[in-house]
Amino acid sequence: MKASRTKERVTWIIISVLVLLYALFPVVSIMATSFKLPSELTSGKFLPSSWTGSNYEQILVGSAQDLFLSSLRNSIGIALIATFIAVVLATLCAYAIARLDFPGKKVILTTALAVSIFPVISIVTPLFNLWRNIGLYDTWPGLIIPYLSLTLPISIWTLAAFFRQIPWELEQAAQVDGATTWQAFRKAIVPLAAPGVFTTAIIAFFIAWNDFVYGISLTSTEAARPVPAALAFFTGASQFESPVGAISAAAIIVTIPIVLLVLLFQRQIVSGLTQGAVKG
Amino acid sequence: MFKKVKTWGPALALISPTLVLLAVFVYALIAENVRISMTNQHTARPSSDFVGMENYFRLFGDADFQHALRNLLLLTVVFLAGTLIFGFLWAWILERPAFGEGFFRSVYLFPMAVSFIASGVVWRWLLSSLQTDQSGGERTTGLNRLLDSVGLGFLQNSWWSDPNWGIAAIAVPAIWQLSGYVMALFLAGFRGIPEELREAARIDGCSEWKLYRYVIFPQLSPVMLSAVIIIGHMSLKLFDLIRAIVPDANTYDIQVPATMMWVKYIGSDYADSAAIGTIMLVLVALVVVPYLVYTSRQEKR
Repeated sequence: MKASRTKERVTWIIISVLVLLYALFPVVSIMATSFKLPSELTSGKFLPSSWTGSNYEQILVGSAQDLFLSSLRNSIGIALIATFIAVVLATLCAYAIARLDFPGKKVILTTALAVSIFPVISIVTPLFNLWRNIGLYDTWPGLIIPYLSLTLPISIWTLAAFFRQIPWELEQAAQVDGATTWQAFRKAIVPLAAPGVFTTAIIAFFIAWNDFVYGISLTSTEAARPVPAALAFFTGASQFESPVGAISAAAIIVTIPIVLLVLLFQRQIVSGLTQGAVKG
Repeated sequence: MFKKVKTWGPALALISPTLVLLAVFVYALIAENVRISMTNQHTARPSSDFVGMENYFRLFGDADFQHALRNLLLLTVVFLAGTLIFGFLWAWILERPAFGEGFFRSVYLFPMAVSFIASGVVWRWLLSSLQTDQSGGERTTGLNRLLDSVGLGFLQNSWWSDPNWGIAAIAVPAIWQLSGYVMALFLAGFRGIPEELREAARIDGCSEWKLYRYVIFPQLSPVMLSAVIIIGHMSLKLFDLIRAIVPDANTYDIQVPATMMWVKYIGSDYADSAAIGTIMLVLVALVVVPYLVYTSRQEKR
């Protein structure tokens, strides 16, 4: 009995180490690269032989500062605004879907959701033409609007699933107990709905933050270019230096907040992301 | 009339902003895309003579485009097989009551949080092929070097720099990134199987294999179908990962419709880029629409 248990332990430890290597290796190696000197990039060694912060310096205060910091500002601003609008609109929609009964509900829901499967790339060409004609090319709203079409369907989907599970009778119960309509909504429903709204916000933010196709095709300058697109424009400190170190440093900086969000809220995110799919 | 307003009114007020937004910025744009694809606007100069299906016929007759379609098929098959196998394995391991479930779940999901663009930076290095340096000696980097150092040198290969199978190498990072998601789907599916069902099967003398074959797998098939659809349509749309690993989109080895569309778009050949966009849209619709119809029918029953 005891021997088999030790054996099991050992197997588990081996599996855990393998799993950790598998999951973390690529990210650890980006991190390792971000601390390498340019001369070391081609050495083929995994870890830098002398750790340097010069890549971070280059993108935060050095020569690539304009490129990186402006794109970081764009990314944060655009993703936050898009997330906010998407969550507000999705909340209204999901509330209607979960609470109200109206003819054609199913058709409307399906056509709205079908949007999320469309390849983004297939509307890039007309969007580019339209934006150039009405002056939205290379501006914040020019990205926020397409991001809404990316984030809205999945936000509606997850929120509707959350809202369906809320015991709405609570609202009436509170009113019976003497609460006003507004009080009943605020004290009984809002606390129950908040986690769902919050999860949806994280998922929406995550999609807007990681977008690349719109980011690279609808911007041309630092006025609106978000980080994933900006990474493609990095150059080395001199013409002969590879920008890989700086790109890695930038990749680490933009990945950290997302990774933290996912690790902190993974349970909620998983339930949000799997709900629709598993039920279907 | 008044009654109609009463049932429709509040709902319409709540959903109309979203509907208008999606109608204008998605559906109208798709229509516009189809229109552009049927014109001869092959340069930046505006020109909009209607040419019908000519662009489509030319594309489908183009050897490069056929190669891109074949690549897309290969990519999708490998991507699907990989995520399903790994996703199922991870879920199967985690499904048994064991310590550290929460920990492993986070670890598996971790790759999904990393954007394709960020992880592409490192995969570009990991998947670099054998290189010949100036002195003529072969220099290996990335995975090839790693395989060599652990005695698996025979597994070294040129990864994505291969016109026939190169695209399958692109599936490696994609699988890495999304197996965690498929695992989460399967895990939810496993959780949905009532324990009594397994017990009943065991009492009836079912072997472990038969239990899986006749009880567990049939119960998991809806989840598996969802996973196939979700991963399948992601694979059809895949662009940023390819672009991050191979910055020059115009690389024959890894050409898929999405990268080809990009090359045309950058080259201001709007008619062709719109046509490829439409073809991709139809491909995705062919996969997803039957599934949506099927699930909505199931729900009605």
